[in-house]
Amino acid sequence: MSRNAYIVSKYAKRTMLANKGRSLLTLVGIIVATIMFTIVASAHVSALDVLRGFVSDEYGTWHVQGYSMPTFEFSQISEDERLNDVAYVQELGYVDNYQDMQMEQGFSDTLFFESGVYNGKYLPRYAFFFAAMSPNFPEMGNLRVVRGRLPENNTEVLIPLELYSSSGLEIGTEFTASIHSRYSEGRKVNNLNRLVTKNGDVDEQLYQIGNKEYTVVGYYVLPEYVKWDDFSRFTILTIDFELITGNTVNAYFELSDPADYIAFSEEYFESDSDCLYNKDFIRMENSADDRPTMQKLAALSAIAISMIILLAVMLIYNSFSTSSSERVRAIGLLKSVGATKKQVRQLMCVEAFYFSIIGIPTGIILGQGASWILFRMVSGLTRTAARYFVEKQIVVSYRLSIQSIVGPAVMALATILVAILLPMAKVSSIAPIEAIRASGSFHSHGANRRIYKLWNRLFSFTGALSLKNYSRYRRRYRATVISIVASVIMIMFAHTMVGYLSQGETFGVEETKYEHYLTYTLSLNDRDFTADDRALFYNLADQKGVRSSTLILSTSMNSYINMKLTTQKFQEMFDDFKDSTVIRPEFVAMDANVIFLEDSAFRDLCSSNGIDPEPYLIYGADNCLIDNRMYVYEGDSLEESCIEVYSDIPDELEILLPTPTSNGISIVTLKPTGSVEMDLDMGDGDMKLIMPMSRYSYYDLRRITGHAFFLFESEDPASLYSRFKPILEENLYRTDALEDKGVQVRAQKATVTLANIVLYGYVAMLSFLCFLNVILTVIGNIVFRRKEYILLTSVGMSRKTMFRMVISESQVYFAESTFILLLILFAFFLPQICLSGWASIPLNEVVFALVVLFLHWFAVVSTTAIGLSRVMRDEIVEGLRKEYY
Amino acid sequence: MELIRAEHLTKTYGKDENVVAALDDVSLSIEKGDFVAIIGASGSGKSTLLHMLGGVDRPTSGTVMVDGKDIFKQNDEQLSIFRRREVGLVYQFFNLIPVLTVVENITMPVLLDHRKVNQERLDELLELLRLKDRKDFFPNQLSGGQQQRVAIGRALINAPTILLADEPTGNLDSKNSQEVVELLKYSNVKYNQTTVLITHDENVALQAKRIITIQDGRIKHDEVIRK
Repeated sequence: MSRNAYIVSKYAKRTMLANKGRSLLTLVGIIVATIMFTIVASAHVSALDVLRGFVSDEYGTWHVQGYSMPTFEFSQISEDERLNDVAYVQELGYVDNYQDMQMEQGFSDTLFFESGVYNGKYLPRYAFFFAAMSPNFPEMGNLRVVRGRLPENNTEVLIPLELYSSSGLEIGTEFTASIHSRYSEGRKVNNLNRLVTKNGDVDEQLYQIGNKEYTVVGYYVLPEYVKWDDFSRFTILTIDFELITGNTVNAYFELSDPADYIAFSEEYFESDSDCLYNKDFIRMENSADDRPTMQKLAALSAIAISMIILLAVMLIYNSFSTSSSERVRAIGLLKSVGATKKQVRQLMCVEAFYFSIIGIPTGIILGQGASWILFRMVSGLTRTAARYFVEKQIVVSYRLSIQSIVGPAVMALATILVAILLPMAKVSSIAPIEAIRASGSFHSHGANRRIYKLWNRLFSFTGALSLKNYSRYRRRYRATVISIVASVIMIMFAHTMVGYLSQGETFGVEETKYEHYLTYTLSLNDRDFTADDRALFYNLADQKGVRSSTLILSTSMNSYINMKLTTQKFQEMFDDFKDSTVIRPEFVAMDANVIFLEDSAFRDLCSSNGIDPEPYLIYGADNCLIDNRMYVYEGDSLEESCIEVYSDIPDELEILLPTPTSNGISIVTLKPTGSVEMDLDMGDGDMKLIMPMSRYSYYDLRRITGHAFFLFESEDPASLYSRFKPILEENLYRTDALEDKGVQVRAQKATVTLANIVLYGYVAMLSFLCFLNVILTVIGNIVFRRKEYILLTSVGMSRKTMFRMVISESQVYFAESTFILLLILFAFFLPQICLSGWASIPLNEVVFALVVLFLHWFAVVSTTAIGLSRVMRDEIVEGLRKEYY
Repeated sequence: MELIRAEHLTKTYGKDENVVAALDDVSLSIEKGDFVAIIGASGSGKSTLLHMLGGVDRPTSGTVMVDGKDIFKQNDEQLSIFRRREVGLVYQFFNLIPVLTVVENITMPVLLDHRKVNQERLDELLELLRLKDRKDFFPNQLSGGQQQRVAIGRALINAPTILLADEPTGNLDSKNSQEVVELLKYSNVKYNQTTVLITHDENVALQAKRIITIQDGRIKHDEVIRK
């Protein structure tokens, strides 16, 4: 360390220690700002990870795709140094019809009814397209193997999931395929060409190129971007480690620098139609030309960071400005003994350096910790919210990245540098003569005597003195006023925002009592409820986390209601539905859902409605329970209100159900004898007729429109949902029929909680910066005016009077803050007042703002009282003699 | 040999009808090694004159030549270096940096000049100022006399050509005052310094070689009392 740096650093260090309160507040401010920078940077990195994950899950990680490229061209491009990795899917050939696929049990011919050049010219698609992929394609191209495994050589194949139930192909099936190539007018036609036609007739031929034996090893699902299966019905994929010369390839290029994608494509592809960009993925890597998502994300982060920078700059500026004002004499003295402007500026820089080396690393470490905690807190919430709002599985997780370390450090350093620029300029321009002249006495700027007189009359001499002091230190108080106003506005904003998000209608969410339920709906159209279906239900019901489970079978039937037996309102509502031309003019025909509940669930339903279940459990009985609430739409659209109408229990309601007899099927009549409420939506029927499952076999409900409902109750339906999905896939059941009944409500609640955490957390930290600024001003003020207070004591001002004077000063600037706030509110409501002559002022928010304002005032008064009582402890003579910087 | 030459020095404060002249066309010359006392009533302009001779304050008009060079033709940086190397300043209210120790206060001009402290000279000064046992004390731990001795040490550490003292005894009792004057005289002789001293105390003034009396910003008397 140079000698000059030694003395400058020593002076800065000791000055910081001598002003512990100010230094500590500034340091805390820098740490808080750095923590916030770190959290924002971590959130930004995490958001990018999530978006990148989204896209790569959907589209894979390639950047440029080339269609149907000749092998020599592909091999040439693959040598390009800009490439990080290359994958391909190479055409092998076509199978036109099932005779060309030979296997022991034979193919189901229903597969081919819409495929191939059937009888000459019907459909522009062949039955199968055979292709070989490179071993890295499944990962780069996001090929998902649903069941089984990837092929290990070119005799093993994956088949599309759709073929599972209908083709007879299963894992382990061996078959021989007679593979053909397409030719038209002597030229080979590749897989991206539609069927070549001439005058409406097919103008291409298939030529056999050989027989090949394959074994099925798994089922796959293709990602959406794939185009190469458009002109065949199914694609069968094998794996090959070498290219076959002469067959075209669909190539997938992953670039080392994604930004090169346009230059790369322009070099190798003649037109845009020869290639495809994985634009979303490139965008997520921040390399696309158009990057609106990234820009939005960057803008959001920039806004969040600007607010932090603004308030942190205010705080640090205030601290250094106070410090420079306190040290005018010391700095003037240094200059008088030969310190140059540069050396004086160095004083501030060194002080800022000390704050930086302590504050920034501490802030980054604490910020990383805070991010880790925050991400743990919000991870589950984002998953819940995203599953409903974006229908994706989002995993927000903390990741220690170089961006979240360097970014906050640079931002914090820049903030400190910007903040000290003005105070630095101020101290360097202090003339050495100031050192000799500054006597520590205080003077007043021009005063408006009339106001002071009035003030004196109203608030006595102390009040007038407060106003004078306020005018004198107005610039100093400005930072306080701005901080208070900013703090109150930000807290009000968070309060209003969270209030808005908490309202159900914000997201169109309705209340439901099935918030913790999952349902699985199995369509029973043209099929019976099988033993496999029942086994699936019990498999799911046995999963960890299932609190209770119910199996429900439901059938839609027609019911006939005798209008005479219904209420007046019901009759008015359904008058239009009466069919006077048919056989039963007094009856109205309505849909009904006949629901079979598992016996135990049926008993529970009865007991919760105070009904004896036993008469309903008798096999072959003609009674049932009814939920006869009917929903009637008023107006023409669904958006218009929907009202609920109760009919009396119409005991002559006729429900006609088929039942097997020795002579075939006969129709029985069902009579509802007990009324219950069952809120679960299970079909389109207007009313629900409920029976125990043990009576299901009494009726013949096969081939009648119906559903099986699996109802599962769980504390954590979201996790259960994730657990059920692979089970359904494994058993080859549709997964889209799995429904989380409370996902909407939980998504909304999760969003509100997220908003609470993020908004209040962010605003609370910003407000904390404002609060530090206010306290810093108070402390700085006391230190700066220490001699003045002692002097006032020496001329006889009592402790009580001085305290009253200082409190009055704070009241004046709080009055100013309130006035500014009111002005802002007025400006906000002015358009409403102008347009409608009145404004609906949100009283809750205004009261909330006043409470926040009062809390700030209270904190200021407390700090002032503590600071003042310390000053008053000083001996008068000693105090006047002492140097305070 | 002439070291300092001030010509037509004027310093005014305020504007228009509120203009006040602290110095009004003052010209003087001071020989190298001289010991000059400036006396005058409060507000007569003596401190202003002293600050201008030391390059601390700039005149409204006029020049100050030191060793033949017009010091106010220098830029701020050069003026700072001039003050650091050629001038030692002692104030009535000591003006020590409260967060630095005795040694750090004394050596500050040397360190600011990026130079190594001459330990021999520092020891000699500490001995001369009787501050050896107080060298690591902070200013608020010292008496008024001791603080003023530290201020003199700071002014002497660079062995400046010019030593300017603005009422150095104004805040001290008679014993400490005499000690300070003895120090200034000793330094004037030993280092062949040019010393300019402002005082209200006639006894102190009479110990100088030349006395200049200022009144209303003008030199009223200029008398050499001993060679």
